[in-house]
Amino acid sequence: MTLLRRVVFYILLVTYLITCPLVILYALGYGYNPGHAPHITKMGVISLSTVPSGASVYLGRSRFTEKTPTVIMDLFPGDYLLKAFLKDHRPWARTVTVEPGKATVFEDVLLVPKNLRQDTIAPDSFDDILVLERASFCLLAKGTKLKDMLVFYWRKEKTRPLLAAGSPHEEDRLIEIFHAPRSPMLVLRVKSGSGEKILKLSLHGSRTTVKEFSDLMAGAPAAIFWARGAENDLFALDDGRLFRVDVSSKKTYMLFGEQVQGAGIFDDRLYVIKSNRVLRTDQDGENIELLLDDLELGEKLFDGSRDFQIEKLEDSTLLFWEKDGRLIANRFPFQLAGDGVRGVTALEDKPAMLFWRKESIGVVDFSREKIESDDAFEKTAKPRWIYTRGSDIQQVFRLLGGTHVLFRDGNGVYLLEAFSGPESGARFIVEAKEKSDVLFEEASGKLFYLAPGSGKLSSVELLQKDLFASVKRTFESEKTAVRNELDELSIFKSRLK
Amino acid sequence: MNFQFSSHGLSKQDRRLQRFLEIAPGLTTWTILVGIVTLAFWQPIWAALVIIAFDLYWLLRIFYGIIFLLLAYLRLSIEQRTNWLDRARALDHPEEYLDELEKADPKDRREKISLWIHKREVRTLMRSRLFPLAFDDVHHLVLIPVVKEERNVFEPGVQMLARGPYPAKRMVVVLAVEERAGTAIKDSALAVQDKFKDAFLDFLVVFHPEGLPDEAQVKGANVTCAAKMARRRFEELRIPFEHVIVSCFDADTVVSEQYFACLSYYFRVNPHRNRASFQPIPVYHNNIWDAHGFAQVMEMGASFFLLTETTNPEKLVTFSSHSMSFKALVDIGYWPVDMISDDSSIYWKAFNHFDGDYRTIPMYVTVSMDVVDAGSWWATVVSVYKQKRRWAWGVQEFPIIIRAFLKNKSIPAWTRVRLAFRFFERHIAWATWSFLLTIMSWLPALLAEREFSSSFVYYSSSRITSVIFTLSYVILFILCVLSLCLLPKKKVRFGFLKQVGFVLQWVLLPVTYILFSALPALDAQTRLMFGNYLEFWVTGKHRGRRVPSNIARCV
Repeated sequence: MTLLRRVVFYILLVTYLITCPLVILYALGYGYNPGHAPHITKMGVISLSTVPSGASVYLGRSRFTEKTPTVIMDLFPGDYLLKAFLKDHRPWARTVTVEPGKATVFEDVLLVPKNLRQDTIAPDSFDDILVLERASFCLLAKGTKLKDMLVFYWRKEKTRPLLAAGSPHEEDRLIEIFHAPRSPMLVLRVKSGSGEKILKLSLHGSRTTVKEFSDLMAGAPAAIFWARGAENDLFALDDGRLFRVDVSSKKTYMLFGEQVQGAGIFDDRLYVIKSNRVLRTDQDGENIELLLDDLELGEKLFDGSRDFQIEKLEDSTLLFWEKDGRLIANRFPFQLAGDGVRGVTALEDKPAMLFWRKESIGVVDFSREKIESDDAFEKTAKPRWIYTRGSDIQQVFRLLGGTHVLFRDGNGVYLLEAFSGPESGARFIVEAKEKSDVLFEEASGKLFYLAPGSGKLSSVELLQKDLFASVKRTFESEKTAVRNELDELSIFKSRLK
Repeated sequence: MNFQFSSHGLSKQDRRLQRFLEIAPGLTTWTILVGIVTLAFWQPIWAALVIIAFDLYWLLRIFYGIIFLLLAYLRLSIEQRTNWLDRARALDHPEEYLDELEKADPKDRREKISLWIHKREVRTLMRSRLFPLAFDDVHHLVLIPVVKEERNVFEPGVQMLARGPYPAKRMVVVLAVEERAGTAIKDSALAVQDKFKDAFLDFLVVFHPEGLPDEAQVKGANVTCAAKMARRRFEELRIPFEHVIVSCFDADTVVSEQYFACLSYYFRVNPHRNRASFQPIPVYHNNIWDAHGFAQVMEMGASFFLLTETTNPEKLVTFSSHSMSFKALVDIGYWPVDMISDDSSIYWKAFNHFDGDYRTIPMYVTVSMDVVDAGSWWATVVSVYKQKRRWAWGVQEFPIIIRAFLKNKSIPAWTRVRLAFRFFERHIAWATWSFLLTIMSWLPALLAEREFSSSFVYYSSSRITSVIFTLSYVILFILCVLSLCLLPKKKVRFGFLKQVGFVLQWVLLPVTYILFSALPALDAQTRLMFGNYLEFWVTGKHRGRRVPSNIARCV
């Protein structure tokens, strides 16, 4: 037995000594290319996942046995035509360059149904959809009076009047809406027979409670914002001054009396641009921390301009966006776009964002790039243009974790793959009523728009409710719900303190 | 060579060396685990390649083990029908017996193989000219330590000895009861003595006093006390120690009917009978059908491990219940009285004492013990964990063995290096393999950042790991089948569904082995590393509501 053990041991040892290096070389991508000039070469890989999954995959003319999501291994470097086909969906094709030792990843490629399912949701005609960022509802407007407004809960696809019948504000005309992400509250600036008013609307279930607090405001504010969960503590920006308005005790406190150029509230802390400096304070305007004290740089960046909006990304990156103007970040190289920025939207779970101008859409990813030993300079976050053929881009929505972009250009709504080049074509999805906004929420998978001509609220199903999508959406919505709960808890805790 | 096989009473220099060697296993294990995690963070490609190399090594190592597990199982099943008593007796006249064997006509292939091995063993004995004493002169000393086991745990073992086919009148049975055991247990020991005293040559109950100098609360101290008492009895009976084989069992050990006949045969046929331990195959069948699934899998794993080891007598170390020459035991000064893992340390103590001229002879016969069952599921989890940690505490022998090897120049250097490395490597593997396979293998992919996830290695490593794990399912299947084959066949109360449940428990193997093998080993090594020494802990074993499983299947 001892002899047998030795023999088997040495056989397995030799097997290991031969197999292990070969397997490791294969793992690194080395393979034997038996072409016309046989040689050993480093291979590449393509990873493809689609929404919905289960699409057949073709590489050139060869059909791949596995369906999406799949990984095509052992590809020799070169260009390949990669195609995905799914019954009743538009085919998808790309010319892919496989690089040695690298993986080319196409994640969550959206396969658009050949016949998009369009439904009419409400029989009434509307003038516009008033989209509210990261809210569970939007407003449908038949006119400018508040009695002409409906609340539309997109998840349940139910509508209800904004105000209860007989409300004293029914005849008021809407001038401006202020809303905080994920908040069930709206602040409206309206015009009534007696002049301008500021109303606070709390939308809970089928009831809207209205509270007027015009007397707490000095004039027409440029911006009103608040932290979610603290709907009675409002902050108003008016003519370079920043006020805190306590609606419950009906008191107004001036936090900064002049030269305020923009403000926002994140994690219970106020971020303020004042006199070309950026500072952070608590909600009473005390305990000031100067985030940007370099006056020369501040002047260069903010230039004394007012009406900056502030956004905060996942990794604490701050964005300062001037309506139809510049886009600035607190990360090098600071100024990301010089002019004409129409909107900004953060990508969830990533330190990255989308922004758009009249004719282009860009992505900025702030993930730290590693400095390679042969890099002379640190790599910086640069805008990457993913679309440059627009004519009048008004709205942009992200899909599937930012792998796709849905945008409204003029009256048309288009779909774009975020990883394709700037010159690539966008797919036309639907045409909306002239000058009306559209709404897309990934959790429902639907695009809501007003039908051209009739103005009826309609929908197009972009993400079908297959198993993958529904599981993913459930996960995402649960994640959002948990995050909301945590936000509320932290707000509650800070209030207790 | 005389060496103090203990970690106590050392000189300053030895104490320093001992401490350094105590730290070495834990430090190595933690370095491997933390190193792989760190590598997965900082150099995921390198981590993936290291893990592939390890997975391949593991696969081949397991494959190697499985080959010899199958061979050992075949040997065990071949020897099922062997009449060991006849063979043991026949060695009184080896020359004539060998002639008889040459003329024997085996009925089937099994008998043929058994006969071939048997003839080889007798020829080896003939060549050595070291003939054994007469069969009737061989005596057995059976030590059964009792701490807090109840009568229904240790009595079946005694009953099996008394009613077995081997002449009980050539046995001295000693119930080694701890003084601290309590009146009820002491009374039950005395009651069992009273019931069976006439069946044996002698039946002693020895109460081991608590708190003797230089002793820890360990099994080794208890059985050493009992062996010293037995020595006096043998001296009174004028039986030379060379004629006595001592078997040290656990309280719950139930030996197979053939055990003592088989032991007598191996003792007699082996020319180095007084420089050897005799190792049976431990199986855990006493309460196998009542025990919790994870505990069954763990104990079955221990049986498989020892079964595999029997094919490698050069490196076989005693484990659990086993037997040895009483003369050798007296010569080396009995079991260590301050070490928890007495079963293996007695081998190392003897190996060093006899300058490497000591061996463990595998015996293809089973001894059955209880699967740990502390009643409730959770209590059993805790008991199994603590039992495995106690087993893994065998790592405390490492510093002592190394110190002994450094001093004992009579053992060839290569043998010392080989055995020390094997001991060390085995304990490191025990604490790391399950973690490396189950968790670390997927770590580079789980922690992958953009740079790694867009590399070829990210995809190829996952695929290679999957292929290796798929191949390991074949091995898992073999283990499932073997575990079924090893089970007692004459089940009284349990049917097909119970067997299906038993097989399904093997699916949980990766998790079971992390929780009840790797983690306790890591715990033991870490404790040793920080000098947080383990106190003796007695495994909970209950048989109250159950009838012991029929063990007629045991060889």
